[in-house]
Amino acid sequence: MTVDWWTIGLQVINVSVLIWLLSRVFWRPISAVISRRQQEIAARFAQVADGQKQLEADRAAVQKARDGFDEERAHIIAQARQDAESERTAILAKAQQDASALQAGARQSIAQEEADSRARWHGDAAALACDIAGQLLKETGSSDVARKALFDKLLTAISALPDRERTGLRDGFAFVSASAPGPDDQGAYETALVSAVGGHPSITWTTDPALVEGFAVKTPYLTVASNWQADLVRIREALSHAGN
Amino acid sequence: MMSPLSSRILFHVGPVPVTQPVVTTWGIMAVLTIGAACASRSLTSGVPGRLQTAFELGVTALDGQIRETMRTEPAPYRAFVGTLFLFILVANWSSLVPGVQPPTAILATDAALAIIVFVAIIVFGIRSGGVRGYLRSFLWPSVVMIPLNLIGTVTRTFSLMVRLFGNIMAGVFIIGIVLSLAGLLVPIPLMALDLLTGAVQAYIFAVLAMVFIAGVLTRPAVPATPQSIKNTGSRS
Repeated sequence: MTVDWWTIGLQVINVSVLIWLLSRVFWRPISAVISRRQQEIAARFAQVADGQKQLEADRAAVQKARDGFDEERAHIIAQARQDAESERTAILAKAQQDASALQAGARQSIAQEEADSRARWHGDAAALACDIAGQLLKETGSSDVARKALFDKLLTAISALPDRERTGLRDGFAFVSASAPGPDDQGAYETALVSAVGGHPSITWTTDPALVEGFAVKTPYLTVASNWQADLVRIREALSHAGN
Repeated sequence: MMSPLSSRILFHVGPVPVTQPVVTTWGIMAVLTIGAACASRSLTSGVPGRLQTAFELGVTALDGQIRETMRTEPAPYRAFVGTLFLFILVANWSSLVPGVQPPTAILATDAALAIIVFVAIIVFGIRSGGVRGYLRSFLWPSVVMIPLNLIGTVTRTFSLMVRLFGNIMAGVFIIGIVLSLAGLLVPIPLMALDLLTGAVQAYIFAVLAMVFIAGVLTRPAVPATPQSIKNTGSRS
């Protein structure tokens, strides 16, 4: 038996070279590919983990925003309630104020109406009283004494006229009596009137039963009355004014 | 049939006789290298094809085997152990090619493989723990065991050589004898068995090489998974 050292040596070299060659062209490339794929998978896992973290963060942010919405909603509702309460109070106060104003206006209006009614009724009552008095005087009050007193009163009124008006009567006037005077009375009246007026006025004699009793001197610009009708009118006005 | 202890010289390169196992080994080297180069040319980190998937599966299985056996990171030993396994496997199965005698059926090739493992044990041991660390491995478990460890270093290398040589050479001889006695088709079951034997012997040789190398490594705590290996950091 001999040891084939050359073959042993060559085989050692061959296998060593083969180990080196396969290390270069086979083991390293494949292990590099595997390592690269593992790194890619690890990177994708890391991406997924990052994505999950991001999702968790987003979810937390959404939850926080939702909580914020709830707080804001509660705040808005509370604010709205407060505003509504304030507005309700203001509306109630204004309504009370308006109601008070309306009430005051109504009271004033009622008082005014009452005053107007009272004045109207007072006037009506005065007119009725004057009508009654006039009717009664017409039926029972006519007398020579009353007529003479009314004529004296007329003369006094003419005498009391200012000079300019009294002298205006000298141009002529109408003498109105409630009833036609007799010839003697007419003469006495004319004398007294001329004496009171002065001058030579032309006198137009007229009759007006509406005077009830008494006389009136009339020009286009002046009326001097002394009769019961004028007195009743004056009394009615006085009563009406007293009623207001 | 020639003696398995000697090999036929095909030609000489100067004073160097080139024997038949050497030429067969060159052929195996060419096949493996060209095949590996072609396979690795179309590698992609995207979706792999079937061939790449098979290669990656093989590499992953080899890494797992190294981790389980050596309890260390497989990268420094992947090429050595993997190439040993591939070469021995292809060399054992080369007997299926008519007219080819497997190189591993020749003692010189097995001796060369054993010598490579022997040297690799020393290199990896020194690389792992330095010269002192490697020499300290002979003290385990006690100083008394130094002579036995020294003897064991040689004998386990010898046993590697003899185990592989005996199994492969026996298979070749049996097939040759049966073929010469019984006829053409009778050795087929034995050849199938020889395939199994060749694969098992390649696996045993690679595993024993890993065990012997691991025996001289200065290791950290035993890692259970690749992830735990990364987490524990490099070996001290």
